[in-house]
Amino acid sequence: MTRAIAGALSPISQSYNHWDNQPDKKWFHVTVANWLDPEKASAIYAALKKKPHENPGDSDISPNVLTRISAMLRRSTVSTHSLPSTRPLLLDEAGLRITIMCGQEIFAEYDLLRKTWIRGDELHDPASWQRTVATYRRHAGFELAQPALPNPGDIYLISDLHLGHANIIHYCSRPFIFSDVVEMDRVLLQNWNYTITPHDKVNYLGDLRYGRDAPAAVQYREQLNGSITFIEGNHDDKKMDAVPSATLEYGNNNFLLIHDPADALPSFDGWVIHGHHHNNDLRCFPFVNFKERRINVSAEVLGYSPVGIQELMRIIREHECSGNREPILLRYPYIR
Amino acid sequence: MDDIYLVEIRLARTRWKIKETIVSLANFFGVSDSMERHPHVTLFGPFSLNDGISTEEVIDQIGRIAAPHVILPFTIGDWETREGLNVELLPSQSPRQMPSGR
Repeated sequence: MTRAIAGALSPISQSYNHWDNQPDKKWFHVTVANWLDPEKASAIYAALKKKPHENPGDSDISPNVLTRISAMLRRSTVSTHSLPSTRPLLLDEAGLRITIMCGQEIFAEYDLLRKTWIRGDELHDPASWQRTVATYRRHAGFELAQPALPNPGDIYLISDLHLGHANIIHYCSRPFIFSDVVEMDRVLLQNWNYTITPHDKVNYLGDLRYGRDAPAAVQYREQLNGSITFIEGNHDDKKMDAVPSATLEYGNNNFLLIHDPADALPSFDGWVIHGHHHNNDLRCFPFVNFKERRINVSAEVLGYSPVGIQELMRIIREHECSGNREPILLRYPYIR
Repeated sequence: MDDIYLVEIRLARTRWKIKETIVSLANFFGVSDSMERHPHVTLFGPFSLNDGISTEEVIDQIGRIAAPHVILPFTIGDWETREGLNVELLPSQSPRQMPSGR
C-alpha cells in the first residue's frame, strides 16, 4: 500500500520525507520522541535496550546506570519518576482508518472496513468510531456472529474476562471504545454462550469480574452456559466456590489449571494452563509457550472466546510432530 | 506557506497503552517537550500539493488504493532509534487535534 500511495501522490505533490522516495525501504514506526539531542537520544536508547536482568526487577534501573544517564541528560527531573518497564510492548494492532492530516487538523479518514470516507462532524463523533470498532470485532472474530457447532466431549477453558471492568479496555487494548463496558460484557457473554452449550464442561481460570461498579459474580454466573469449575483468581470474591487449582488428563497429557502460573509447583512436569497475565507480556506468556509448556488462556490472548482442550491438543501435537518450538503469541492470526 | 498534509494510520485499540508508555518514558527521561502526543504510523509525507492539484485528487487516489484493503494488521514490538533528519525542516507545529471518542 505504501508503494502504491507513493506512486500515486509523488507526481502531484512535494514530499518532505526522504523515505517517500524509497517506499520499499520505508521505516514504519510509532514515534516516542523526536528532535532529541543525539547524545541524549543515545543514552535513552541504551537504557531501553538493556536486557531485563541488567535492570533489576525490570521496573527499575540500577543506580550506576541511572547516574550515567542522569549525567548525560540536561534535566534534573529524572530521579523524580520511576522508569517504566524497559521491555518494549509486544502488541498486535490493526489500522482501521487511513487518516489524511492537513496541518494540525484531520482532513478526512478512509474507513477500511466500512469502505467509506469520513469527513466533517463525523470525524469527531464517538458513535462513528464505535461503529468502526464493532465492525472490526466481527471481522476479526472477536465478536462471534452465530453459535459454533456443538462439540460434545470437548472441555473448554478461558480466564480473565474482567466483566464490568471498564479500565481493562485500556489496560489490555481490548477492541471496544473506552467506558463501553456494557457492550464489552454483552460481547463476552455472547461469545461464551455461542461457544459453550448448557451441557459442556468449562474450566474458568479466574478473575470473572472486577470493580466496585461491576455486577456481582453470581449475576454473571447465571448468564453463562455450561458446567463450570471456577479456579480462584486474585480478583475473585469468595462466594464463587472456587478451587485454587485443578488438574486435567487428556490425550496422554497432564494439565495443571491455575490462575497465576507462578503458583504452579516447579515439580509439575505437564502443561500449565493459566491466565493472569492477559496480553501484557506475550514474550514470556504467549498463547502457547512450548519451551516452558505453558498455555495462556486469558481472554485477550484467545480472541475473547473460550478454547476447547481438543484444539489445544491439536496444536501441541502438530508442533511436536514438526519440531517447531517457536511460541504462538496469540490464538488468532497476527503479523509478527 | 502551503498546506502541509500527512497520510497516516492512527493507532486503534493500542492507542491508550502506547500513549501511556510514551508519556512515562518522556517524563522519566525529561524529554516531554519532544514526545509524540498522538501516536501514529506515517504512510506518506509530510507533503504539499503541486500547483493546480486539489485535495479531492488526494482523496480520490487514497480511496482507490485503500479500497481493496480490509484492515492493516501489524505488531508493535521493539525499540529503535534513527539518527539524522528524515524529514526536511517544517514550520513549528502546535499540538494536533484528535477526534473525540478515541
